[in-house]
Parts: sequence; C-alpha cells; structure tokens
Amino acid sequence: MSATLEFVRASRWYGQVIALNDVTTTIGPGVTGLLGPNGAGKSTFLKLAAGQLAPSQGEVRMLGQPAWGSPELFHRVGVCPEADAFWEQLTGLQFLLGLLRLTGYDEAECRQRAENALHEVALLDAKDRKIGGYSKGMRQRVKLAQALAHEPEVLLLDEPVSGMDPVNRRRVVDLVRRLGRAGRTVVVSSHILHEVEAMTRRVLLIHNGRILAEGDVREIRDLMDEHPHTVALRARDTRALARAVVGLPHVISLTFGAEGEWLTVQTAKPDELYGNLAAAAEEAGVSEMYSPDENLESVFRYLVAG
Amino acid sequence: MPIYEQTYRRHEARGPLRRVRFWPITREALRLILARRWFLALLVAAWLPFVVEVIRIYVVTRFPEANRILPVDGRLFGELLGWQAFFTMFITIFGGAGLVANDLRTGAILVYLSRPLTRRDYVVGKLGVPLLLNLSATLAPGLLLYAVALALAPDLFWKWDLAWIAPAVVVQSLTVSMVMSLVALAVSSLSRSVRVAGLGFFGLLIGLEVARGILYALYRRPETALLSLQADLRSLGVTLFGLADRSVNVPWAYAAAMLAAVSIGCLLVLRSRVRAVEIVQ
Amino acid sequence: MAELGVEEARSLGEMVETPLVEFKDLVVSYGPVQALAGVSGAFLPGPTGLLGPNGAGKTTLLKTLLGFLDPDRGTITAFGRDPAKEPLEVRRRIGYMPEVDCHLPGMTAAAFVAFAGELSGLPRDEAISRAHEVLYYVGLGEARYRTVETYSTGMKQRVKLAQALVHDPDLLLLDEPTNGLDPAGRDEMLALIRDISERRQMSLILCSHLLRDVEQVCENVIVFNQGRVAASGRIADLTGPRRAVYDVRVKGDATAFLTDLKDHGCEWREGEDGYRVSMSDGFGPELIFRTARESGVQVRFLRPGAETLEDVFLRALGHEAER
Repeated sequence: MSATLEFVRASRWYGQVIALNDVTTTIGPGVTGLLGPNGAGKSTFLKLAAGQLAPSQGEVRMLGQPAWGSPELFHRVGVCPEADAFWEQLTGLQFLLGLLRLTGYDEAECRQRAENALHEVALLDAKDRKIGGYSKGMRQRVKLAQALAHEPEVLLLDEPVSGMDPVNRRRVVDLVRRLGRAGRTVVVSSHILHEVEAMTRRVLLIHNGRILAEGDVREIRDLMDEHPHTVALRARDTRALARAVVGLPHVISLTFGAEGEWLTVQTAKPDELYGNLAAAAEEAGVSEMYSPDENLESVFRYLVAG
Repeated sequence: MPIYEQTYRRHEARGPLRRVRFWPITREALRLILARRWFLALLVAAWLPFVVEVIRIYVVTRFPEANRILPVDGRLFGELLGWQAFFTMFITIFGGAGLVANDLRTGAILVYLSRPLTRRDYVVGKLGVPLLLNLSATLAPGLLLYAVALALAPDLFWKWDLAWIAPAVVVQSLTVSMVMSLVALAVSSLSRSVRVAGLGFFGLLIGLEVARGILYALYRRPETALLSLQADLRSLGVTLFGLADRSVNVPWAYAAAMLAAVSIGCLLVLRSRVRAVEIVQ
Repeated sequence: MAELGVEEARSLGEMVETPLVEFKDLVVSYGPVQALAGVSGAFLPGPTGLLGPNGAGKTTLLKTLLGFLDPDRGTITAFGRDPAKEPLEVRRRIGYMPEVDCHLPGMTAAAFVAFAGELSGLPRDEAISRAHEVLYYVGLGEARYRTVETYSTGMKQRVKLAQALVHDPDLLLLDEPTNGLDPAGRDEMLALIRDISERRQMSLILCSHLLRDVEQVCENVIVFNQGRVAASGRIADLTGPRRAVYDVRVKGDATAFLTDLKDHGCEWREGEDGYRVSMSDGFGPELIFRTARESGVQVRFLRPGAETLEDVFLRALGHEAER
C-alpha cells in the first residue's frame, strides 16, 4: 500500500491544549475511517492533512510533499469540513462555480464539473436555489459537492453524514465506497461507529490526540463483545427472563428496574448473553432492549483500559 | 416529583409596564462592557487630553507670557474635542461594534424582539451604549474643562463673547458621539462577527480618511473633506471653535448635511437588518 | 378531513370557549417563497399541537402570530387583536420558546431570565424574583448561577422555556421543545410541559414534527403540510389504524431475517442503524425474536419506533414532503 498521506511524529497544540500528540501513521488509497469520540483530535488530524494547519512538531506529508505550504496540492485534495459556513445568498451552482473558477478551469469546464458534482450528491434540481433556503441535509451535500468538484486524488471528509436522514446517508455512503474502489484516497472521520462501518473496513482509532489502534473495524465489534456489558430489557415477565439467565456463568448481576418492567443484566460475555436471550425474550414478551454501553465513549474507555 | 418543588405562581399583580422600555437593554450592555478592566482603562485614558489642557490653562494663569506661545481661548476646547474624537473611535469599536452583530450571531435578537418591544426600542437601547460611553469621553471632559477654565482663569474666560463655548461643546460632542455610534451600530448589524464589525468600522473611517487625504493632496480642494466622516466632524469643529485647518474648510452646512445623510443611511440599514426573521430572497 | 371550525363547535352545544388565536385565509410569504398559502383555523384555550414536516409553515405561523411577519392576505387575531397592528399588546401575553438557540453570552441563567422579564415589562425586583422562581420550576435551581454557555443541550432548552415563562404569559408557544434532547431529557421536558398545561392551566401551542411528542401533551392538533392545513381536530379521530413500529439491529446476515418478516406481512425499511420494522396486525415484538432465531441472527437492539407524520397521517398529507 503506497502512502498518500504520512504523519511522522506529528503533534499540534494550541497554547496548553494538545490536540494531536505524537502521531505516526500512513494512509494509502481506498477508504480509511478515522474513528474517535468528540474532541479526540479528528478535525485537527484532517486539517493537518489538508495543509490548513501546520504541525507544531513533526511532519505531515501529502503525496510526497509537506502538507503545509504546498499550494500546488490544493487541487489534488478535496476537503469537506465539519463547519457549516456558506455565503447564503449564492445558489448551490454559483457557490460551486465560484470555487471552481479559483482552481483555474475555463468557464465551460467549471460548469460541467459543478453540474457533475451536484449530480453525484443529488442536488441537481436544487442547484438554482439559494443556499440560505436549503435544509440541513442539503447543506451537507453541497459541502460534499464542493470537495468533489475538482476530482481530487485525495478526499478528506469530516463527519460527512452527521445529521443526515437515511436516504441521503445511503447515497453518501455509496459515493464514498465508489470513490474508494476507484483508487482515490478517502479519509472519513466520525464519532458514530455504524457510519464508519458502512463505508469501510479500515479504521484508525483516535483518542485524546493519540492513535489508539489501526485495523479492521469489525474487530471493534468483537472487542466490544469481549468486554463486560450492561443490557437493559423491558418485558412483560421480567422474572421469567431473569430466571432464564441467572444460572449462566457470565452473568455478573441482575437488577430489576422501575415498577418491575425493566431488567438490567450485567454480563462478562455479551455475545453469549444475546444468544442465550433469544428464546427467553420471545416467551417473556420483551418489547425493548438496548445497551447503554454501546456507545463509542464506553468502547474507547475499555479499549484504553486494556 | 423532584422537578416541581417550587410552585409556579401565576403573576397576579400585573403592575404597570415600564414606561421606558429600552433602558434595561442599555443598562445590561453597559454592565457587560464596563466589566472589562482594559475598557475602563481606555475610558480613563480618554481623559488625558483633559489633564493636559488643565495644565495648560494653569500655566497660562501663572505665567501670562505663555499666552503668546500657547494661546488659551475658545479654540482650546475645539482642540480638546479633536483629541477626544480620536478616543471615541476606539471606544466605539470596543464598546459598540459588537452590539448587534453578537445578537444576530447567537440568535439573541429573538429574545429581544419576541418581547413587547419595538425594533425602535431595541435600536435606541443599543445606541445608548456607545452614545453614553462616547459622551463620557467628549461632553464630560469638555464641560468640565470649561468649568475648570472659569475657575482657574476667570479673567480670561468669564466673558460674554466666550459664552458660546459651552453650547459649542455640547453640539460638537453630541454630533461626534451620535454619528460614531450610529455608524458603528449600522456596521454591527451588517455582520455576525464582532471582529468583522469592528474591523469594518475601523476600516470605513480610516479608509475614507485616507481617500480624502489622497484627493486633497492631488487637488488641494477643501471640498474633498466631505468624503470622510472624520473630516466632516472636524470641519464642524473648525467652524464652531474657530480653529484654523484649511484642509477641511468647507461651509458647515455641507458638512452637516453630509453627516445627516450618513445618519439617515445608518438608520435605514438598521431598519432592514434588525429583524427576527431571515429573509432569503 | 375533520376540520372543526368554531361554528361547528358551537352547534354541538359544547361549552365553547373563545379561541385565543384565529386565522382565516392567511397567506404569508418569505420574500418570493409562499410559506403559508391560505390557511384557516383556530387555537382554543388549552394545549394544541401544531404538527407538520419541516418547512410546512408551522414556524411561519408562529412568527406571524408574534408580529415578525406581515400577512400578504387574510387575517389573524390573537386575544382579539391584530399582531401586525398591536404587536406589543399581543407579545405581552405570549411566551415564545424558539427552536433555535438564543442566549446572551456572558450572562448567568438567573441574570438572563431576569433580563428577559425586564424586557417584558416587569419591574426589576419582580423580574429577579420571578426569574429564580421560574428557574427552580424548570429544574435549573442548582445551576442558575452558571453562565448559559456551560450548559448542556437539555439545560439550554430549559432556560429557553424559563425565559418564555418569566412574565407569566397567557399563551405559550413552544417550537420543537425536545430538539436535541436524549430520551431521558425528552421525557422530562414533556412532563414539564404537561405540568404547565394541566396544573398551571396555561394554554399552549406545541409545534413539532414529532407526533409522539405532541401526543403526550395535546389532544387536539392542527396539521400543516406545504403551507396548507392538512388536517385538524382530535388526534384520535384523525389517525388511521396505527401499526406497531420497531427499530431493530441484528448481528449477522439479515437477508433471511428480513425476508421472513416480510412473509409474515410486516414491512421494513432501512433506518439509521439497523432496520425499521412495521408489524402486521396481531403480531408483536416476539415475532422479531422468533424470526431472528430461526434465521440465525442475534437481536442486539430493539426499541419501539418513532412513527413519522407520514406514517400516521398518510391520507391527509398525501405525498411525502420534499426534504
């Protein structure tokens, strides 16, 4: 895997706050997910990669050149930032045209590329409406179109599907996968596990400004299954449910909840528990089941704890 | 239930509504601004020219010969206010540029306008802030200097033909303060960022002044003074206090008209920008 | 469509209260866009829901009620007055909890709400005491001396509610009050709103795109869609037969699982993380567990789903609104 993006002991701090701490990694073609809780350093990582920030220490290289201070890289890299800031009075098409002109294409090519990009994100029929009148999902898509329009080799997407409805999310996910298969280097950041899972298998876990792990995203799910979990169930007959699981060796504790409707099970082997519950859930009339531990912060916490 | 331990009283005593609706707006904004120490320092620093002029008057009373080198008469006040105009620019930037911009950015404008307040109340309330701050740096030192002058050098100042000083100070202070405040408020309503508004205001004033300077250097005509706000204000000062500054020697009626036009323009901008709804055309 | 006008109500011999707000053939535009294309209706005392997808015109109606927008045509009256002509009188009796964030930076919650009270015309002392009272009421008693910037989303929502209540309005306008709240926060907010409505007897208009929120507080509802009134009346009368809906996530290959569900007459579509399954009549969640077991997948997450307005008001709303 040839390296498109290289971080060599890169750090970035703002006064006393260290956003990225001694990060060394390489990223090549295909889709790579950058997964971490809010405030972990994902946006800083992407800004360093895009050349929008200079590393306080260490090196960041993009396509063989330093990311910071290499203006010729700008049209080989597309950036979709998290922030939402537009010139509201422009239409979608005008916005894209304006940015494309800066890249140096002639008028006809600008138009062609703008329309292609808008087509990719399914905004073609809204292209002549002002951005100020766009819904939230549409604004996200325009940001994405802006990153794609000049067909860059490298795409850096910061939380591209946050807050999107399922239909548009599917569109963007398909788009990202297509771009990855075509050989471009796409780095997608998110704090939501299933978003990243849908787009790629390769992930970088980032936590407190450091790279925690690199590997296959499905291993995270497996790792989660190795760690103690709490599972909350609402059922018609919680006692029956409790009877079904109390004898299992991996069950650590059982707690009955408000008015006997809820049962909380703490288990050392969640995967086994879910398997064991399958039959009992049907009989006991389970109508709600969730695990408060299945969020990224908890996962990271026990990944860090080891 | 833990949330509702304090019962919510229906507000039986519907007392009369306040008659002066805008005052809380001014008061709270002033409180926020005056909480910053460096701003207070700026306000204090604005009194330096006052101190200098007091010393000057004192020197002249003790050594009357000095009156020939540093003449002390009505023009003194014009000079003082000229200095103060410099300070008002900074006071306005830091005390006024962000007033509306901040509200537009945080959405607080909805909090104001969804109350029984008119937009006029809002604008008047906000205007009061830079206005009062500026008056504290122009009118107050000006009138106080006059009082000091009367006390220290009655033979020089207690004359009928110098009785115009006090009204002149009032007019000039009010004009400078009002125009600066209106322009700052209008610029503030055009942006959502305090910084952009502040820089915009600063840029506007300096830019016009620079443009005027260039035009004057090229054409040597005092009419070019009309272009710059500060020059218009200075020109009024020149007329009121009899100062000698040929570069801004336009008939005061023109300068006044220009300032009036600018003020009306600002009010129109405010009327269109201070809204509880975003109109996307 | 069960449109219950004031005249019909009178003829039913019910004890009729005068509507607090009435609007007739109201047309309001935002620049070139017509946000309300001729709507008529009334809000009676008590809680009423104002439902509709985003962009349907709900917020526009609220803003016209507050006098921010002038109608192009038609009339609207609040407490018998025209908000365009007497905005101050109208706003004095309305409390508005906006959808968007609105706070004054640098102020503590107590100072902010007291300030809001003063802006509504209360004398300073009264405004201060009311502010504390109201902040306790909404559950921010402990945190009222902290600045609003340090608040979580749930707390910010409560501050917005507090500033709407401080001057004891006759009518409360709540625009998406559960926006951005987690399930626990949402339940608390709705419980608070219910308390205001039932025990404090304050009329309110609850504006939302979530039926399940409105259901917990209001019996009557007006539904907007694309600038028109799509339906109005009692929720129970307006909705068709309701299907149980569940959000499910499974571990394993879901193809067989979903096909099996379909065979049993259920419908499914992709959700945020997993699937949204609409159960066929007579079947409950036990079917989901059974089907999962039989097709070799593990159920990892199950929650009763939030029905969308389209699910519920299919006939009245017609086609899906543009997102």
